[in-house]
Amino acid sequence: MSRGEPAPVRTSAAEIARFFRRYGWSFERLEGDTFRTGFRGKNAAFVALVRVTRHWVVFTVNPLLKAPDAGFGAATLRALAVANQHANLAKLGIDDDGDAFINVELPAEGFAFSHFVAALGALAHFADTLVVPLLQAQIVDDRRL
Amino acid sequence: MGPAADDIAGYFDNFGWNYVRQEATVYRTAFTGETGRYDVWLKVTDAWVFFCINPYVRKPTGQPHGPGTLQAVLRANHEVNLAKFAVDDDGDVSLSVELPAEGFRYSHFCDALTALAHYADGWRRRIDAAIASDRAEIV
Repeated sequence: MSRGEPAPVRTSAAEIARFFRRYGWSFERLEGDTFRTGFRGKNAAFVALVRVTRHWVVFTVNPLLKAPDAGFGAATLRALAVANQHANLAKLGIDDDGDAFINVELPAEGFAFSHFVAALGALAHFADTLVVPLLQAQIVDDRRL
Repeated sequence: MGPAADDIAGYFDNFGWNYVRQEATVYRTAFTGETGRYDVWLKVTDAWVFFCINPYVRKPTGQPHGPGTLQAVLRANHEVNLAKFAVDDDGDVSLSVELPAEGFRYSHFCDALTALAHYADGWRRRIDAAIASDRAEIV
C-alpha cells in the first residue's frame, strides 16, 4: 500500500447484492458468490453473471455468440479481436467450448458502486453494440464455406 | 475521485521501476522478460487509467494475422485476469489493462503492471508459435 492511502477494503457478495438493489436491476443469487441478471438492448436480450472472488469482481455474458460446429471462421475471429481494441473496460474472447464471451473484470479491492455502474454499463453497451457486427461476420464466414 | 497524473510518478517510485513522463498525463516504462523487452505506456484520463503494450506482436509483413493467431489471442483472453489482448487498427496485437480512474489506488497500479509483465512474457511463445503455424499454412 502506498503511504497516505487508507486501508483497502474488498467488496463482498453482500455488497454486490446491495449494489444491484441500488442500481435497480433485478437479480438472482445462484451460489454464495454468483449472481444472475439480465438486460434487453436494442438488438438482443442477454443473461449476465456477476461473480465475486477474493481478488476480482467479474461480469460476464457467455455465450455472447455460440460457436458453429466447425468453430468461428476468420471474419468472426477478426471481428472479435479488433472489437477488443475499442471496447473500453470490456474484454471479448473464446471460452473452452469455443463460444465467444464478453466480460468486465475489476479488482475486488476498493470496488465501489461507481465501478459496479461502469462495469454493468460497459457490459450492456458493448454486448448489444457488438452482437450485430459479430453476427454479420458469421454470415460472411458461412458464405465462404 | 481519480488519481492526479502526478500521483502516478509516486506509484512508479514505490514500485521501483524507472519511467519517463512523456506528457503531463502519459508515462512510458519498460521491462525485460524471458521473451524480450517490452515498452509499456500509461495514460491517465478523467475516466480511465490505461496501461498498454502496443505493439505487443507486430502484424506479419504484407498480411494480417491469420486465424490461428486470432484464435490464440482470443483464447488467451479467457485465461488472463485484468489484462486483455486485442488487434489494433494497424493489425498489430496489443496487450492492455484498463481501470476506472475513480478509486484508483497504488494496489491497482501494482496489479496492472504485474499483470502486463506476467502475461506479456507468459503468452509470447504461444502467440509466436501460432503466427508461425499460420505462416506455414499460407506457404
